Amino acid sequence: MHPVPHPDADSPAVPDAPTLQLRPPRHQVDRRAISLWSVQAALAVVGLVAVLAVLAAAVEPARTWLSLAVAAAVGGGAVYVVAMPRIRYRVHRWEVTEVAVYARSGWLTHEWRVAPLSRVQTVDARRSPLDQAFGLSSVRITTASASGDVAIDGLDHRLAADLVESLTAATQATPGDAT
Amino acid sequence: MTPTGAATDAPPTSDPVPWQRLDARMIAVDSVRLVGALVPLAIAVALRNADAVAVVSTLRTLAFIGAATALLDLWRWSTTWYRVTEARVEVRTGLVSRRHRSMPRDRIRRVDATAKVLHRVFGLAVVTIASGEQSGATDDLKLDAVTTRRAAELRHRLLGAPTAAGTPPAGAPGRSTWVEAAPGAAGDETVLASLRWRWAPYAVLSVWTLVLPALAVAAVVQALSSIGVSVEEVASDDRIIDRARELSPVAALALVVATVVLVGVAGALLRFVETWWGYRLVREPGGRLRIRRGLLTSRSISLDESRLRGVELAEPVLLRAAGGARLHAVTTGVGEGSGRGESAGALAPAAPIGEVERVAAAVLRDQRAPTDHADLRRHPRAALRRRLTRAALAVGVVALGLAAAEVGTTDESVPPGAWAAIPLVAAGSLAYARASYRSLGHALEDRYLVVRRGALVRRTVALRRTGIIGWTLRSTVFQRRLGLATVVATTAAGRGAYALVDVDADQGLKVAREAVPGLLDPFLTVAWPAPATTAGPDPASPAAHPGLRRRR
Repeated sequence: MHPVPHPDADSPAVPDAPTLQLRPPRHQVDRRAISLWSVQAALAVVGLVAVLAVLAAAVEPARTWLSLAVAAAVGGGAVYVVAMPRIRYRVHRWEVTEVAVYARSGWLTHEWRVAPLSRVQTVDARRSPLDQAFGLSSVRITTASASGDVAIDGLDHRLAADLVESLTAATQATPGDAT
Repeated sequence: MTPTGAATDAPPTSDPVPWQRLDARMIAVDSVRLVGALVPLAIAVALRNADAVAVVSTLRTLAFIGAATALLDLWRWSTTWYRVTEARVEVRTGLVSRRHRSMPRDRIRRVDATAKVLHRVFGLAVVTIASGEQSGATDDLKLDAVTTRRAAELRHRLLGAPTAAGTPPAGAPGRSTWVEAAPGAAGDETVLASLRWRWAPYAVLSVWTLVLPALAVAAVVQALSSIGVSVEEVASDDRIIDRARELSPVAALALVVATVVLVGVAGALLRFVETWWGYRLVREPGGRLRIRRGLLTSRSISLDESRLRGVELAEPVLLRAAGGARLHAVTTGVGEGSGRGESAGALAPAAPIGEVERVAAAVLRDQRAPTDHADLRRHPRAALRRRLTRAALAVGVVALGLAAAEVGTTDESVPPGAWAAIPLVAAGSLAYARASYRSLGHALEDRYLVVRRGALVRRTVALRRTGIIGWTLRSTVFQRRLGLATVVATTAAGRGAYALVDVDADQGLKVAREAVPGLLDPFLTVAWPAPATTAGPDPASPAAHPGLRRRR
């Protein structure tokens, strides 16, 4: 059985043909994730700007260039802090069905991940200090593949706990070592 | 998997399986090896100051180091215990800081026995037991060392056990693990491949052939200078100078190149002989694949065949030009972490591609290798455009760097010929972009997903569809604008993920959906492009599985 017809690779997609797409997963993450990501981004930007500023103050000969770099970091950083969390919030979605975990993440690069529950090895919730400050939690679902992990960031911590519990129950119901 | 839970839970005292020690001869092996490694240093010291006192003190140091190693090893030997119970393999080390490691037997994927020259003299082998866990090679259990007989016994007991093989015998699982041939598997081992000496030239076709002699020369120069012999001194010896003067520059260059090539080729052939001497790939009864090879260091690599998820055909540029390829197993327990050198997961040495594919077919129990008959589908032209853009960017960065250096420095620090490098860089990156695009491809076979990529090393992977344990679709901003995506099949075996890079997003999803029936369907929609504009994300379109069979 041959999977698909083989049109020439160079021919453009037939304009009126329907195309397959991944639909967005059902649930959005918690709105507080925007604040969390904003704070994270702000911390990173402030750190970078501080380092550059200290260098600009200390390194006499390269002061012009480093000052420019500081200005660029402040400008770019401001855009990043404002835009990234909002875009990310619109991209990050997740869903758990009877048979699979399905999640989308990223902001510039989008990443859809699907892992069947029968292949899930561990499920755990992690909370960084920042997560805790916002009452959030991230759930990480690992499979036997080194690169098959599914992570859902920015969930309400109670929801995350419930999710971990139900996923663990669902995966324990499946026999085998998930490879 | 094993019926008794006793071995897992009960304290060691109540367990009947006795703990065993490593073989005591390993103490001798280690001491001799360490002292042997230090002998050249001692000779160097002796040569440099040929003074009896220094020589004696060096010898004394050597003896001391030997004795210390022996003591340390005695300690290690007396505090290391291992045992194989019905459910797990356990290793206990240390007395002060104790370490107890145990590996469930149904997680064991690979058992290696390696014997270097000294080990072989003493009849020993180092046994490495690897699980399918991806957390790294440190999790392997290593028994350094046991007798070769014990190594063979362990290999037979631990791999291809009835729990993992296709036909579990009814009853007495504990006893049957000792039985050599699994019931139903008639006869002895089947030889799938063995060494052909005409493969030797293919071993030469590697960048290492020229890199290693260069490194060797550098190492020798370094070593000589460290014992006080200056290369300049030797080279300025009158006789050598006179000889060199007689040669024309061209002839001198030719001589140097010829020497390097000769040394490199000889070295590559020697390495081929050392690595692949006596190579045999066999299928043993009970579902084990076993590779034996090595002249001085003998290696035996045993894989659980039921964990084999496919094969990877690697074609480095040079080898590919000569129509050769290398073959690797895609299996759990042989991931990137366990790679020590290019021949770590190798099923066969570099060989003509036809013969490599014959071996692949035999390993996979197929008539023909999936990498052979797969009709690979090319990826869209847009993928080429991306690569050309990247090539242009690379050239731009180099040019900018040169310009910045030109502007930023007042003195003549930028060599005048530097700009001539630009066309070279341009040609190189253009060729790379083209090669990278041309090697992209994928196909979906009855049982295999075949993906291909790589410019310098073209890798064609045939992955069993049943071995795919998830999908990832990644798209950058640029990919989305071109309707492309990178669709990644995740698996427990090999590298853990195999990607269809820069595939048409629709086509990639089709492949993913068909490769693992049912998994992706609930998450797919069919997007009907609007009459005027191109299709955007359309969450409103119906989730349509039934009407979703074919595009045309």
